[in-house]
Amino acid sequence: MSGSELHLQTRMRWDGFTLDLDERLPLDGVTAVFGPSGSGKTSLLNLVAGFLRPTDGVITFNRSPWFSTSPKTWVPAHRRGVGTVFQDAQLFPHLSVRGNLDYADKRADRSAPGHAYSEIVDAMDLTPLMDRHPSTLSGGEKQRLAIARTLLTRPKILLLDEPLSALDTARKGDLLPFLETLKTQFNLPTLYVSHDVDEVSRIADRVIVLDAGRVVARGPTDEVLSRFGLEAGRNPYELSSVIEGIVQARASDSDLLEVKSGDASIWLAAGLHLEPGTQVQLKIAARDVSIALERPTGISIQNMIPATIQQIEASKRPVFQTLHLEINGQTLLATVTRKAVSDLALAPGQAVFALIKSATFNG
Amino acid sequence: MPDLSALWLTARLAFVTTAVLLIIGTPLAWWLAQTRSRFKPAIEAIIALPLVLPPTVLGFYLLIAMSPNAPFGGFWLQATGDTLSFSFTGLAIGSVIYSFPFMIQPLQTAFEGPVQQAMRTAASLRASRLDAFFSVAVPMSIRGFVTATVLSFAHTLGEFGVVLMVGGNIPDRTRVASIEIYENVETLNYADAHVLSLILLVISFLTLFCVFLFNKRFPAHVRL
Repeated sequence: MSGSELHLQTRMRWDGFTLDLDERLPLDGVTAVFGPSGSGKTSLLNLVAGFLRPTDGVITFNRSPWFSTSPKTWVPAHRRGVGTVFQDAQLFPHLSVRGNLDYADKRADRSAPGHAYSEIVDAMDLTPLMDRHPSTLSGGEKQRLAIARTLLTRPKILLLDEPLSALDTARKGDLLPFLETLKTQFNLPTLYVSHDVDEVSRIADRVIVLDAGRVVARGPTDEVLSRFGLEAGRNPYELSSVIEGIVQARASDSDLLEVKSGDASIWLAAGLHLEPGTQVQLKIAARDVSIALERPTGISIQNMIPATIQQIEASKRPVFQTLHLEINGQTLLATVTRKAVSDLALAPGQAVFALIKSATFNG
Repeated sequence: MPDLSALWLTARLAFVTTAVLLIIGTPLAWWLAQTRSRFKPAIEAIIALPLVLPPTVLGFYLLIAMSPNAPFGGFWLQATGDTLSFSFTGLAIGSVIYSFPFMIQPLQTAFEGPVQQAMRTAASLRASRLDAFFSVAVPMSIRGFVTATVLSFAHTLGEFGVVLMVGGNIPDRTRVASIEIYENVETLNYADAHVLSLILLVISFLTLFCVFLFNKRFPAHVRL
């Protein structure tokens, strides 16, 4: 599939909102569409799915045109092979769980590669639910059914519209492994709309960030999320950065797990069982990072990493400033007081130690 | 014993009216449920008119339109060789117009909101619009269909003013049960009026009872 892409080029205006896109999205892996509500995420999804018809522009999927103004082309939603999983699952209330699955199976694109009915039902763990009615399912079960139903149509691309947003925190945790199964076992190009940093950093290979109808950032997940953290003052999310690393072999007597990012080691008190060599992402809140000019001694913090100050930026609140620290080519953000910056005479280019109080695992 | 041919004529009229309304009302209600046309309020108002107009007003205009001297009535006479006024066909046309809101409004309500979203979902599962209409929209709107059908049927049974104006009072041709009752009362034949009235009362009650029974048994089909 290398080289194939989804090309979206359109400019639309309605009710004072302008959506202005010119994106080429590679058709492999998971691309997160990230941004605050009202940024145009759902419109982008509707353009791809064929629920929204642009007034002007081009939509091309893997070289075949779905929409263009000249020559006039419009491929309706049901002939695109786009599998959409809606925010609220959108199960058919007049059909049972099995009925919902059969509905999709009957209309599947037999010319496309796909997985067996039983394999899909197993992967989403639906076997015990087959004879139930959708209204009796929990939020997570509904989403698993919606995902399985979409897979049965043998889509060429998957659109997931905030599939976790209707669930509470505990249920989100239950469903996330299924989304990871979706990625590893079914391996379909996926557009994943979300406004949750945790979900995106766990699932997406790359991210495009939308704001007010425009793409303001695009690139690999860790890079973009760190960069997006810079602008956290404009959004409600806590300022944090994502660092990639590799799990190291665990000493038999150690409770701590070592994750190596370049030369730097980060120690985590993780009960998780992870094979050495696994690539993981660590999310580190900017307020959990402090700065020392020299390697401190007599301190409880375990993680002290050499870093270089790239940039010092004003924060949303005047008391604080945000430091951009470079660690082996990755960006770590730290929130420190303005007073600390002047007391320590911090400046870009300076070598310091980043003291990391805690890091969370993102898979 | 009253003349039962009036009852038979009433039943035929109600069946024909309901069938015609289902055929033309379904696409119109569907269009109204999803259109963003600026003519929508005007069209909805026209459809609702029979609810508020005195049946005699509607009947009067219909009578004039059906007259062989009017363009529509004249065209009909030329095309079929029969006049529209004082005929069963004229009666059926009047009934269809008179009962229009009773078919359209329940269907339109049933087709709005969740059903429109379900049409998108069906499209994402590769169903064409026609396929999705019959496999998703119709089963999800089944209560709307039952309500609309029964209300149209029952409303036609109870028609009087429009029928009298358009059809007159011709035995076996346009004399429906409601007119027969009126005729019996006018001629002080209370016994026959009693029998016919009771039959209409029982039929109307049973029809409505069936709707409420159905709605009670299949609540999940409309609620999401």
